[in-house]
Amino acid sequence: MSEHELTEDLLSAYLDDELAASERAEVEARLAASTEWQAILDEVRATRGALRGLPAVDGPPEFWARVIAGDPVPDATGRAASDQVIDLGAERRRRRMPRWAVAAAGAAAAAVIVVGVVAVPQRDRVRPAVAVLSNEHAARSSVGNDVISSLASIAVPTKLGR
Amino acid sequence: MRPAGARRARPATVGRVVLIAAVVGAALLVVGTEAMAGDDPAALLRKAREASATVNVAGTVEVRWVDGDEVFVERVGARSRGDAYVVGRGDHLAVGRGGARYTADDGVATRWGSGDEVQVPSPSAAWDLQLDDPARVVGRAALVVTASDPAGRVRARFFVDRATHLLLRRDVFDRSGDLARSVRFVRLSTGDAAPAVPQLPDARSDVAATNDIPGSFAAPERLGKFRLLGRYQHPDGTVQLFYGDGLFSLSVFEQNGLVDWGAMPDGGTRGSVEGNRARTYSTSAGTIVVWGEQGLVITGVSDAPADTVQGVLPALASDDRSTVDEVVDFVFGPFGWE
Repeated sequence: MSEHELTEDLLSAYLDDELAASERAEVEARLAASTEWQAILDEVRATRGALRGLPAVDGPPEFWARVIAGDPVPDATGRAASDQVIDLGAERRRRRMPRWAVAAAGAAAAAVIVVGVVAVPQRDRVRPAVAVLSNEHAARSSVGNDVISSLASIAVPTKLGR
Repeated sequence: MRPAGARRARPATVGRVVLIAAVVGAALLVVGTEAMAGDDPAALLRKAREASATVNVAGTVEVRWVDGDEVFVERVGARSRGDAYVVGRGDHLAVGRGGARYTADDGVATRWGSGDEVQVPSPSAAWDLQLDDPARVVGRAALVVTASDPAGRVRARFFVDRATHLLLRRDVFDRSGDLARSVRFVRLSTGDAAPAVPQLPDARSDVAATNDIPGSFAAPERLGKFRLLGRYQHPDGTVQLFYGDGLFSLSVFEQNGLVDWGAMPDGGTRGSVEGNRARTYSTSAGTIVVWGEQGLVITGVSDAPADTVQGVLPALASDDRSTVDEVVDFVFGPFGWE
């Protein structure tokens, strides 16, 4: 996507037919090129269908009367909910991590990556040359041993595959 | 006064007695030495090793080995004069002089220039050696030594030339008693009839003996009955540990990395070493076992019976390694998919 990265929210909007024509075209192009995102789209669609399939539950008969009258409404445990108004924005800011902590966490993550890439020995894929190693062994084995019987195995073509 | 003739005869009699005693003594010495070597199978095998370096040889050697249900048989020419040897020809050639070795196989030339000879352990410590009934190999009378495992199963049989002590034939058996590998002369002449060995290439060693094994490599002093006899560093960083039990030898090659199973040669049998995926091949040289463990690619090569090799190699897994390597393996082990 040129302006918007494909996200599950965008897919949800796509399913709700809430996208502009250009955005819709971009999403469809992205879906056509990626089986992975097609699978995610199917998951989002299935989740939405499951939620919508849940049965509707009516509130107790006095619920709406109490709401209209401004009475405290009991919650699921039967206790009356507080009439204190919560400032959601302030609460979100309170819970948000301080900037210095975010910076420290980022630096720590970068350090871990650097250590992982630079300090830890890299382990390459190795294909041991078994025929050569076999000859190396036979050559060393022939020293101080019966020479001809040891060297004979080198002089024979190595046959590994069957 | 004694007669003059009697005085003249006395030195001659003494001389005859001394001569006879010397001849009898020498004969007894020779017979005694023969008997000692003949009665002691370990001594007989030692004499066979020594004869390999002194008896001039010209002949043909047959190598036979079993891989699964298939039996492979190959014959190669062999000759030696003094401490110089040539076995095979063309690309499949092995040449030696003294402790140096030159090999050319499948287009890959390798050299072994380390002429170090170490004290080989007594084979009696690991195997029950017995003299068997004499036999004939390539038309020559042979003394036969059998090597049995602790369960009493004959696992190897050695045929030693009675006249020269040259090893004429060596058979190795699997647990069931079936022949697994055999090397034997099928044509042989010894002595001055053997032709001269051509001049060798300049054998410069690419493999260096070392005592400085990096901590990331396992290098136990013992693997079962096998004792560590040498440590070597190859130009590509491969470490070779050479073990012997007096009868068979075992090389352990260690390389940093993970086994590229997709690039391994076909064939062989799948298995495991201490829970690690492994593959075992049977070749003319013996048993080859490849596996990966703790960031190392390990290749074991041995002429010993396959189950003996597979029985001792797991001891590498319990060898102490550096703390850093243990930590690295703990952290990154889960990402080492194979």
